[in-house]
Amino acid sequence: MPDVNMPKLSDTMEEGTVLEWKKKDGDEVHKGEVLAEVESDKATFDLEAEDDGVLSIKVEKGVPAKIGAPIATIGAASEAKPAKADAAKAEKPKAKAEPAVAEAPADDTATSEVAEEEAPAAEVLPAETADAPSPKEKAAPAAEVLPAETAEAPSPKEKAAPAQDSDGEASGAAVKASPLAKRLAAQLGVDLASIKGTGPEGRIIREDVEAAAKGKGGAPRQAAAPARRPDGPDTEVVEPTRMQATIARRMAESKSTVPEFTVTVEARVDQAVSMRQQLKDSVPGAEKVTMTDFLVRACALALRKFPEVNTSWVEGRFQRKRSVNIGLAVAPRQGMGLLVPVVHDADTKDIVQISIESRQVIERARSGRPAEGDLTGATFSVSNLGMFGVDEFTAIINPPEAAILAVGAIRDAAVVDGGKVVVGKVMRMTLTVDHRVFYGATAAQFMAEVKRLLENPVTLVVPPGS
Amino acid sequence: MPEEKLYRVALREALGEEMERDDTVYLIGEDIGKFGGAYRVTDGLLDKFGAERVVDAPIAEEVIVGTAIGSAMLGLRPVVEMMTINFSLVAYDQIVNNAAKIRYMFGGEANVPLVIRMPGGAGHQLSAQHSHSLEVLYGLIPGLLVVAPTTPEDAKGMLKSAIRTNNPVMFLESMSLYNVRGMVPDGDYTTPLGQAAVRRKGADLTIVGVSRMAVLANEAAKQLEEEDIDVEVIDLRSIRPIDWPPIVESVNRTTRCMVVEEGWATYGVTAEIAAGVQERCFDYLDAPIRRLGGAQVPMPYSLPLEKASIPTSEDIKRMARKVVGRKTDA
Repeated sequence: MPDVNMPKLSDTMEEGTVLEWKKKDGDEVHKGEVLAEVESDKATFDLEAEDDGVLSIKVEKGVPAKIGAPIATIGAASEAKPAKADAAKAEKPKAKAEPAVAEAPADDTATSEVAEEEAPAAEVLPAETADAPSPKEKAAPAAEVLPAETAEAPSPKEKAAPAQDSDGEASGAAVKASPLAKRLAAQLGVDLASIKGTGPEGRIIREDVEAAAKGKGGAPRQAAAPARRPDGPDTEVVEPTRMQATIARRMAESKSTVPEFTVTVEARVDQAVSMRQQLKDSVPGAEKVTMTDFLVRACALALRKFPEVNTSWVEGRFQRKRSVNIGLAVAPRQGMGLLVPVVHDADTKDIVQISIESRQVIERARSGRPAEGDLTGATFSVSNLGMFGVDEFTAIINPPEAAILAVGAIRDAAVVDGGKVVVGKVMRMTLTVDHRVFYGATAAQFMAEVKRLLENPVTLVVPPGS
Repeated sequence: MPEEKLYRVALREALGEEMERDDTVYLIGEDIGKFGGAYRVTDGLLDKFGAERVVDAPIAEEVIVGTAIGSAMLGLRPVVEMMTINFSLVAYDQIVNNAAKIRYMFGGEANVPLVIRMPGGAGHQLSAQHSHSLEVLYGLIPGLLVVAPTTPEDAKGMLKSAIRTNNPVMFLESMSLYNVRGMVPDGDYTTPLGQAAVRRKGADLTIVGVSRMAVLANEAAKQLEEEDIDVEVIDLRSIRPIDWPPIVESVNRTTRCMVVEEGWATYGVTAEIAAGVQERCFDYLDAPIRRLGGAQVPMPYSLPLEKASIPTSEDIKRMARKVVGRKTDA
């Protein structure tokens, strides 16, 4: 019986959580089918079956499991072996023998005895067959066993009514609702006691719950005037996703252990903006090139020039990185969080390649299906909030990287150019630096280089190595 | 070209083709040779294959099944015809204690590739002793495969599969289906054992029908369409093992389930299906699972009473309306 284990999805992943089982316990599953949506510290992934068989879930959704721990098994179909005993559990004497003639009122309480529903047929019964006492004798005891609906029961059963009251809480405390309706009500936050059932015997069915849920959604809008406070405590406690918990831990760790300082520069980007437009218009593959791609290219070149920036401080030593891998801070498509997909070896790639690759890696990360390495190995990060109109901001270093570049919006500004005030396009960038790794002068030189590259964008579009 | 054939003819073709394909296949039963079978299923096979392979047996069911089991253990592939399921009770010990158990008792060193064909059901004024629907007696026994085809196509395809498997198969036919016509594919084909068939897709209610009741459920479903009740019909086909996935998938979608058999529902096949659906689909059910079976009486000889004792498509419709919560006018 093959185990389904919690997969290791990233370098830093220690445990994962099933966000949702896409298959149910007991479902027959086939190799390649998606079993569950699994969340690691970085992203969510679809977990696929590696065997055919019947799924047996070991770890419920929402419960964390260590990597490698079995979270389910895929077993042989239960009926496949003739030797395996069937679980025959037909015990309830609720059997319904509905003979052709009768529109039997006692339908729901009918036991196997034809006598209860079907007078003519009962007369056919040999009265003294061992197992079948006469109809009259039988009705009463049978009714005692059953928590039967008294409403429709014909006279013989009324005797049994007291027994049912104690048994079935006919006092009205219990709400009669189908299992589906109960489940939906819990999901939609509908109070069953407030609904009138329209199903058989007044049972609350799915439609009733759905109708009530709709009504619920509409109600507050009508009564908008006095802002109604919801019942319960003022603060709602929300469990973080695994990703959020990881971000919280790592950001606190960064801020409390990294001695940081920031350096801000403003770059004229008129040329970069027009260069970008030219690329989009006339270079195949560059149709979707972004300012972030320019930044990635500029940072990659600057990092090559200043290898001390492309360095980590680990256990009292510098770790100088050979590769220049640039992380891009992006928001996930759904929910709150932060993803940092990585463009590897950005210094060896031209702007078009960076544009294509960064788009792919971002898309994979956002869709929850990152490829191996997509979310690991960054040596430097860029966070661009320019598209939100932010002038400037500072970002928090993602250890063990030594720096992160926070980029604001490009805006038109009055700039002094050759002694005259002219309208120019400017962009402010702030580098947050781990002071253990490099120092103010290096930070300033690095930023000057980034600024120089951006202001002379032809340097960014020549092929790498030239 | 596939053509319409009678259920009984489809069975006959399966027998003839398998006997031609494999000379270890032989037939044994009462009146199956010279007389051509009580329901004319084996008509003409004696002339074609001779008395060694179409064996007219004495009226001694225990001996017939015992002979068949012994020959199966030694390499033949017997296909037994019990004149009706009612007479199989005489051979019940052979079936339960030998056919179903020998492979187990011999540690897998002996197989019993045996098929026992037999018609069941009521509706022909054969009275109490000759009108049984005893699917459950065989469905109960681990070690047996139990199937009940309802269409000529399945009758032929499943009989071929039954003959070819090394397991003992109880092949339950229905007296009332022998004259049913239906398309039968050309040439050699088999229909797998152990699989249910979705006969009709629907959104409001799943009806699982056992043997001929699957046919009636389909008729009822067509009529219920006019009342805006959209019924999905599943023909169980395999009584043992039960093919749960299509049933579970269907009920989870329609949220309602009803099960119909011709036999007695108490402790019946419908009881097993209802219990299994409840275990697997509890949180998806929007109504109690309902069962419909024959009246719990020895089958009356009187025609009106007999009719009143067997579920009809009207009965199925009436119960279906209740399950989906429609007011019944009748």
